[in-house]
Amino acid sequence: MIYRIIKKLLAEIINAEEEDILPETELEINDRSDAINIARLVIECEKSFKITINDEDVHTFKCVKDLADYIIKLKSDD
Amino acid sequence: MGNKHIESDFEKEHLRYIIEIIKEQLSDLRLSNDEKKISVISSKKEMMEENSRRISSNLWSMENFHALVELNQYASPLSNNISEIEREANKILSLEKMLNSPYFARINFKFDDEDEFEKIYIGSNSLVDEKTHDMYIYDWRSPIASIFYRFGIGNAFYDAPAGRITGEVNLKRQYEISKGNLEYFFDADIQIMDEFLRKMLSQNASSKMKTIIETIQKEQDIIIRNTDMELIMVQGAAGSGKTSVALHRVAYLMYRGLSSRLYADNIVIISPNTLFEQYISNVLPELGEKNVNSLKIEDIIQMVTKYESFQTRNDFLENLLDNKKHDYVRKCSAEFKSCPEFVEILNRFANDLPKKLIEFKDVYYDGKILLSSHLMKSRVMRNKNAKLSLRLGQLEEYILASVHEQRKLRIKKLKYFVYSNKRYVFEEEETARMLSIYESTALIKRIRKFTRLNIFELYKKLFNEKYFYSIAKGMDLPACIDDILDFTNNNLKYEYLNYEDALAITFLYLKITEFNLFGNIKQVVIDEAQDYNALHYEIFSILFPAAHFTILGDINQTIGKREDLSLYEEIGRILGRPQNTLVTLNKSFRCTGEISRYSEKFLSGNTKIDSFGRSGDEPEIHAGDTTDSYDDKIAREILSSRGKHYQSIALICKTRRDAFSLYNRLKEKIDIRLISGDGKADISGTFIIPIYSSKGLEFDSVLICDADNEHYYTEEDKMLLYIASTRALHRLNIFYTGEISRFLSTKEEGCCR
Repeated sequence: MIYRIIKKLLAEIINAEEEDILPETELEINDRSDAINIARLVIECEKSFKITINDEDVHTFKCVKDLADYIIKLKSDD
Repeated sequence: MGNKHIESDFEKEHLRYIIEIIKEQLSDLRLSNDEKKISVISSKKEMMEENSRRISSNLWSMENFHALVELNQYASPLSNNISEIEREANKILSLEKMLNSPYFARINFKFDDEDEFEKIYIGSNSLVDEKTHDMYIYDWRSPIASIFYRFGIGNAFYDAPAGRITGEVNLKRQYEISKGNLEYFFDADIQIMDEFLRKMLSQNASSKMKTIIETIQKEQDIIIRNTDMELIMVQGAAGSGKTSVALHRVAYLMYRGLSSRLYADNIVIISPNTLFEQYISNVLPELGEKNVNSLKIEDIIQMVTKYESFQTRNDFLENLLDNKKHDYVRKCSAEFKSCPEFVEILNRFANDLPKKLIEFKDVYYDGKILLSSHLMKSRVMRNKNAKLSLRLGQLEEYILASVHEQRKLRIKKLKYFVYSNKRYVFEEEETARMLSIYESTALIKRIRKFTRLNIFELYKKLFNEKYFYSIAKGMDLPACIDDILDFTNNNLKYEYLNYEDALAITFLYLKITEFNLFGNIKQVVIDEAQDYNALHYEIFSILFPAAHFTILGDINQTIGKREDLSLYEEIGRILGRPQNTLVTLNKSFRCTGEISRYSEKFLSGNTKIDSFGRSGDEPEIHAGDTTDSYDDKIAREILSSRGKHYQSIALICKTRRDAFSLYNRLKEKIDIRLISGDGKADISGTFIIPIYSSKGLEFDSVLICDADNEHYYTEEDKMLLYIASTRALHRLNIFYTGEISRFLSTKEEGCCR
């Protein structure tokens, strides 16, 4: 569920097909536009899941799965 | 004579009767087991069908979550059933074993308050009438069976859970039963028992250690059944059965009463190497128990530090023993890092970390100071009961909590900043968040420089000369300490850690960080205890806080260092178990009297080993004038050992390097293998092995090679000769070229060829 929503959000942000986004899809920051996209993804996730993502944790999201795991953990800690 | 016949008929009849009972129990059990299996298979099938029907591809939906919960309700009785099946299967296995040989001994015992003698049969497992609960056979570990091991004819007692039970023995009988047939039996007095033991000992060595339940000696039995002590230390001569005692003790602890019994995952054996692990791996299963975990010191280093790249103990010993690489500083360094003084230095160092070595830096957020380095330091220095890594983690959490409190405000400010910049007007929020992510990432990295410790980097700082002297203030340091510091600093430039540094770092990890993997361990068995030093025992003490220890060693079998009885005092001090005892096993059962007597001359002081007198060939020394004639003599001895049908013929060399060079010369001449790695190997047939790998093992015929004065010169080398020669069960031969080792004085022997 969580993973599916993230897929959808990211697909919209980067203008890609949902099927092309996999758990291993990297969340790399190469330039300013990547960084903005990540910030946007963080904001969208916060809205969708009603959570707060700590900015100092964002650098640990190397791929989509890391982000999903992080959110799953946040939700289960609630 | 007539009496003997009557007895013999009685015993044969009794055995038939018992075997009938076993067969009956077996067939009942098999039937019930089959029924259970069928029921499990059908419920498994049902569950699978349910499973695939109810849980569609999406595991995350609420509906499927409920399905999973329901499925779990199926699974729970199913897993109960499975464990019942396993229990029964084990029982079937043990009954099948009993069909072959249901018991090995009997005593006639009269309880003090009764008039008649009762026949107590003793076997590897008990056999009980399920309806009447009558005991047909008592498990060798049952309290009453201890009488068999501890008493002869006459008054006797045993300790039962309810207290001491006294009575009288009027018969002790031992049986040889094989394939369900009574081969022979004898009524035992001490002499005949010894004869029987001699017969058992004269058998060839096997590649796996065997059980000794038929021949456990009184003093061994006392150790096996001791449950009062938190720490039992056994100083046992080579071949005195230390390891057997340890394993039978483990089996005993797994058998004892329901509340106090231990399970396989409550016990761990610290073993010197893989070869040894493999050698002892059959004993517990043969005794009908699950095997327990064994750990090598390398496993512990890896588990605690997660390091992969460090010197193994075998490599360390190889380096130490290789005279060609003779390196005084290396040896001094290893010696120094194994002494209690170094442990004290490490303790001081761990305490000193927050005071002097962790570089706390002021933390700023949103342009204001959040926490000054002074405050952080004093926060961490408080609450010394918690591990340092925990205190630092709490500090990090504390800092982040105040960052989080101010974050909304900070992002607002960033938004205003982006807005006033007018550049990214369409993505104001994202840009502000991006900036916050950037600065938060930088912040956390700065904080973690002092909240997350790099223990390897810190350990390097310990060897800074000025710092080292300040921390070692008031301590007795070795004369060559400056060389040791240089040597260590040099080594620590590389990622590959020396064995002694890997140990020190492991100790620091345990001092500084939380490690609770072994909280469930209640019994630790340490074999070859003399090979471990103060630092090892400090590590064991932290790793197994709740455990009792059984520690077995021989101070005469150290490698590359020397020990005396004070080793055990030191162990007692470090492990701090108030209920402790030191037992000595001085009788050696392994070697023939000839080999035992011969090896005694390699012992220093007036250590006397009491040998269980079995006789065999006199050990011989063979000189080779040239390498060729030397090799030929070795080959000839191998052939002669093979002629005597010895199953394991070991050529023991001082180091791996020596073993390798001998192997390269011999492999063309004769069928031979080299055992030199840290891994598993087959220890039957003919093979070459370095001394340190042969520890704890035994072989039918031993050939000590390269026994020249260069290889065996120091007092420590003499100890190696003791270890090597006491590996032999039946036959020992020694070979050299050049000048013979000074410890093998040929003049006295008169047996040199």
